[in-house]
Amino acid sequence: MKSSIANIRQHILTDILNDPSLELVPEQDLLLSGMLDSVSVMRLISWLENEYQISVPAEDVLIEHFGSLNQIKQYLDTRLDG
Amino acid sequence: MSYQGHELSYGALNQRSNQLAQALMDNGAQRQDRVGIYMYKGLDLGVAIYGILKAGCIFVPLDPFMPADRLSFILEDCEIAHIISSDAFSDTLNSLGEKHDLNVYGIDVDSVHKTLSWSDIAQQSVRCPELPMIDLELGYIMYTSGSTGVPKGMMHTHSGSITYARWGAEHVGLKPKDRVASHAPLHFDLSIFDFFSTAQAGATVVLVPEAVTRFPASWTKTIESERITVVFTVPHTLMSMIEKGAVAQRDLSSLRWILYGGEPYPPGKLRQLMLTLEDVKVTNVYGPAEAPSCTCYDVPLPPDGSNEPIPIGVVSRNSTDIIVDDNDEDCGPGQEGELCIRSSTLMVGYWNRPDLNENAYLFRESFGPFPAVYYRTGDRVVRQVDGNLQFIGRIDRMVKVRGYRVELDEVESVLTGHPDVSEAAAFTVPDGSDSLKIIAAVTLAKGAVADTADVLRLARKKLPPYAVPENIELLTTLPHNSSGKINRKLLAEQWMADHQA
Repeated sequence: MKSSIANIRQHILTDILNDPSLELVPEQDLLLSGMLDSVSVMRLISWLENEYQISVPAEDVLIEHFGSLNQIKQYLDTRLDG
Repeated sequence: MSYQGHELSYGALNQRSNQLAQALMDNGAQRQDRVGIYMYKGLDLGVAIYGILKAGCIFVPLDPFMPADRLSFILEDCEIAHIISSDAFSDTLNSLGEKHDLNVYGIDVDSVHKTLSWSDIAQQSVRCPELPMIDLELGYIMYTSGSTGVPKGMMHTHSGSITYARWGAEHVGLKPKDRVASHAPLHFDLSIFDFFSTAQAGATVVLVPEAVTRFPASWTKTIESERITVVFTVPHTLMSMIEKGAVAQRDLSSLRWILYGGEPYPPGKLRQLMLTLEDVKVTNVYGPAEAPSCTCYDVPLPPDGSNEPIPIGVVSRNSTDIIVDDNDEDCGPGQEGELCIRSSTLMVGYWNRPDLNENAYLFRESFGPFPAVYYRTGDRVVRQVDGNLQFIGRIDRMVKVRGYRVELDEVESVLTGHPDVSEAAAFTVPDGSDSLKIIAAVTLAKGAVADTADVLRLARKKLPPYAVPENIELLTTLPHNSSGKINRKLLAEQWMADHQA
């Protein structure tokens, strides 16, 4: 399975934030914009684990992997390739 | 001060804050004017705090994540005309240009406001302004949720903050070599410990970026790389650190003392923390932001399998307490009642809110014409046989969500502010990780077309992020009890039953 920014974006807006009309571009900082708090980050990760059939070890749950849609895709792609 | 590999010495901090103070005064800031601090964590934050105080002004921490409407309210409420900020906030500040005429310090980009960049400020004299200040003047005003739908500002004096800072530095035995994390946001009273207790000891404060606080594994990485020795935070941070912080892969041996506050720590989880970080001392610090750190308890390792809540301890130095019943009479031994605190860390009152100040205090006869003034915490407690206070719950509808203080009445008043909403109820349910989450149920007015996203959008516009309900349910009616009040307990039970699976 390939990761898709559109898919992750839709999950964040529709399922985590319950508002599909919000603006969210791939390079946007998900954290400093205040969009995701610590709980939403954990919800997002458990969804990603399910959706992409991977397990994200605690050690990987770092800002540099989950700070923006681009970073999330990049992280997923390294995991899915390996 | 240290931030992501950048450092500011006490000497540089002194010089830069003197220059900021001079710039503020040059631009018309008067003694005891309120000056906003609206920025993310960074070295400039420390400069802002001391620069404002040195100009004789009062600093007002403004949550960088709060919606513009709330920011606008606070600017107006305490008449802020000067604000220390950064480029990241220039759009928000410009959007307030119609309503607020501001002097903005610390930004380089074009603005509708009058601005000064840090390089402009660096042209100022490095002399500290000499002002005949006394320690009973105000040092900071911190805003918190108000039950009527608007935030309220707590006024704190220099003398109160110094008492708090000294208590912290002495309790933990801070030394110049200590590296204290500034993990909590500035608009949280824990930050007073972070900045001022550290300064009392000549130690280093390590500012933790907001994003790091959202990622347990990044946070433990910071503890390791920054060699953090002391941290004051909320249980949620510590529990996620143990559960998801990859602690097995980290060297956390620099940590020597953890202070926590804001809400109770489940004893089993605290045992886990203390077994994982074996040599670390742990203190439960209690105190509403109105009377910060008025009691504390050094926690011994909770016994295996114990469900006995951790006490909040005994009053700190320069504080005294009484427990009163519903008629304001002293409670007898073992009797539950409201904790009232008399302390030199006590706020002077709520800014601009005589209505709240009238009910915030309890007066007791002292000697002559001088009454003893106690703050009513709204917390129900009981004094144990060993003298330690045990927290039982609230006497009102204030709740703690992962350490954040939320007034459910405020949430409801925002929701019913939506033109399509007829009735609204906000309640809490367990969040599955030992804290609570906020859920709301609303009914719509006849013929209304709003959906939950519309209502949520309004909540996001008016409330700080942590107070926005995680879910809003649309119901056709809300249950009421016999007295006509919305039955929120039933709503919470129904919600939990529906979401059990």
